[in-house]
Amino acid sequence: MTSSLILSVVTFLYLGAALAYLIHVIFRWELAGKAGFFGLVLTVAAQTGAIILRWVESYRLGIGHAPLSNLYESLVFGSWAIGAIYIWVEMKYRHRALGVFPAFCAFLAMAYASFDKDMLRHIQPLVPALKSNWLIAHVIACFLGYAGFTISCGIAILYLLRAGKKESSSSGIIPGNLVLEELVYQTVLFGHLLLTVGIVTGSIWANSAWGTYWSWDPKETWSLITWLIYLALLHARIVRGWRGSKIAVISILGFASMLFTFFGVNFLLSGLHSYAS
Amino acid sequence: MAEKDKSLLDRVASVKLTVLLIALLAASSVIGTLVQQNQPKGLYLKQFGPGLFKLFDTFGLFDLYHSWWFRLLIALLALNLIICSVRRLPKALKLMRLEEFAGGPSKLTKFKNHVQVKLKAAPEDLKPEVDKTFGWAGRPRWGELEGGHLATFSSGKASRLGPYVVHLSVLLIILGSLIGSIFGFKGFVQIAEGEETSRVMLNTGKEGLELPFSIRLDKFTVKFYDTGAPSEFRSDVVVKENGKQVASASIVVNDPLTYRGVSFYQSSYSAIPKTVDLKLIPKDGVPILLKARYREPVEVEPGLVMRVVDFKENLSNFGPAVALMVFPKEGEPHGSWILVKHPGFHGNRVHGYRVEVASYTTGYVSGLQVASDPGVWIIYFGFTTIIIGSYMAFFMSHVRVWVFLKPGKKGAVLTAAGTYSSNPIGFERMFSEAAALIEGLERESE
Ligand code: HEM
Repeated sequence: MTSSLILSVVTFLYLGAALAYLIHVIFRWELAGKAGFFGLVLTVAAQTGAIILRWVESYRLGIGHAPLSNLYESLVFGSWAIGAIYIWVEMKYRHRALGVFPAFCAFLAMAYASFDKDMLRHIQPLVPALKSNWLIAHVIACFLGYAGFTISCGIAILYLLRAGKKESSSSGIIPGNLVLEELVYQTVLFGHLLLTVGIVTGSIWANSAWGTYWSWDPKETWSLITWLIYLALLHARIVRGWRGSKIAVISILGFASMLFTFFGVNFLLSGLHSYAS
Repeated sequence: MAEKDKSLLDRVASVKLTVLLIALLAASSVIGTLVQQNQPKGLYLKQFGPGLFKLFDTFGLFDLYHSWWFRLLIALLALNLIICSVRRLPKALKLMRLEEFAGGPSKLTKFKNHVQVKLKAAPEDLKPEVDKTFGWAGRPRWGELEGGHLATFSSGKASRLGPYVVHLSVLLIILGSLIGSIFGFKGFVQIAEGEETSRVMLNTGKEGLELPFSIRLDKFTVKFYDTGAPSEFRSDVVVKENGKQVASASIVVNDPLTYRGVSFYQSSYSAIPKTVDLKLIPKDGVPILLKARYREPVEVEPGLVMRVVDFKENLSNFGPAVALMVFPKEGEPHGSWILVKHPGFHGNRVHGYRVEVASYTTGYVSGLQVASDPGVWIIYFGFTTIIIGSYMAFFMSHVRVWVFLKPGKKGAVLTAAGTYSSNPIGFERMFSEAAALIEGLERESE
């Protein structure tokens, strides 16, 4: 299949972009930053093509559906979302140094999707429960939100690394602390709005499939926990005036909770459950 | 006394409490995912031992999300939200109306974002230029002030209401779920093809609920992909009320049937034998041929009744099997699984007869989840407004820009200043670009 070939190449392109950004930050080399950005644009473009191709391929197999239906496809879409939204952030705020973390996370997601030996990578037909437009909206919204949180976490880590040092104003390549902090917040705003949309559409889907919009299952509950953590961040910042390291730490905590929602619930909690039963 | 009341109210309305409650809710939810919910008692006893079991049980950890203290947290959150919003709303409404600024045009240069230039053109002639340059900040209103012209641009007023729309939505969602849990129900029906029922088994307990109408299953269909994975489960049903047919529908997963506020969701299915042709061979004598209907009694010999009570499409890899029970006049009922494809199997015996299944026809039983939730529309409304409100609060900004044009020695003095309620990076970029445009206009020569 051609789409999977493109996607394996995309995996390494993400790694290349991440390394270029890293060189840019460490050696303050302008050209490497440019290479990182244009490499990322190329990567996301190729990945967009591959996702569309996979969609077309599913129709050729006679089981046509949007490529968002299993772990493999959601990882591919998740890494695409990180790449695409980071490009948007870089174009909007014009800071090149923030690309290391998102590009690396997109690479990790793709590497896991492409090389894990238990991963089901072929196009599968949709079982009845998954045939729903609400589900498509749900997956798209959640992953765009997750991408926002990923970028936020990267900036938060950068902020904490920088906050300890004396030189905290803009040093040419890495934006100043005030800008970093503002960006941590702005990306959380974006992520939180999309996670809200994601939880809402997911719960409408559940209601149309089972007649219950909320059943407190571990996955649902963890998405709510993630939502609550970022909600606390927003209120602490807007109303209590928290700034700086505290906000950065909550952003990282939220990201950890998001990762657990996506991976941990599947692997750890279900493990716990199967052990218990 | 009044002083004390006020401080208590302050505390209940404080955002410190909000953040604390949100953190507590998150932490309790974590516990709820670590301790499996709503399992049988015995399982918990085995998992935790009697000591921990008693402790956990006291705090309702086995049904945590419905425990009194979890509900109390939510109630406190709602109270906190109501009081805080009611107290702050007047200020937000005032800010929305606020377009003038204290101190008059001379104070414009005190704003963080401001620009002042002397220009060659006359004040009147600059108006169109100002309208165009600051058009992104809204539609201008011009007025006369202190011998000059003042333009007020304002947009995104509604963003000030964003938080209140969101908070009201949160309250609506809590209210909707409350209404659902008080006035709604959740249950289950199992209907065989051709059968009709109006009785719902409730999820909460054993007692059933009688619906004011009945539902009949005409046909159940299951379709598969080539891979063997299921592609569709469909129940073709008819709703009957007072003996009359009032509705009919095909229920598939993700597309329920709703009648009179009660919804039916495709949830499970199983195969059953509709009729079974049996051959009962006694030790000596003539074999008896019988046609049995599923779960209906059939007389084998005077005083001996038999039923087909169960069916497996594949029993322990021996192929299809029917379960027979016999009910003799005296003695205990007893029965056995009869393997259809292995007539010689030594276990194919009941009550002294060797049994063979000559043929059988199958049908389906469809399992439908039944739910009635009058709160769900309030919830959906809240879902819509929470998204709109979040967008208003964070992605719209109440932008205000003032431009004052005063006659100078020859031309005009232009002073512009602006503020915003959120999204500073966007505003500051727009303002500085506008300021650069203004500064690029032809200056008044000194
Ligand atoms: C998507 C969800 C939410 C968003 C976007 C949001 C947004 C906001 C914003 C922007 C403010 C500041 C208002 C101002 O500056 O005057 C605020 C304040 C506040 N929020 Fe939220 N909020 C959300 C959910 C919640 C929830 C679930 C609670 C808890 C029940 C809550 C409780 C409060 C309280 C108590 C205040 C301070 C009082 C007030 O200004 O009304 N919020 N929220």
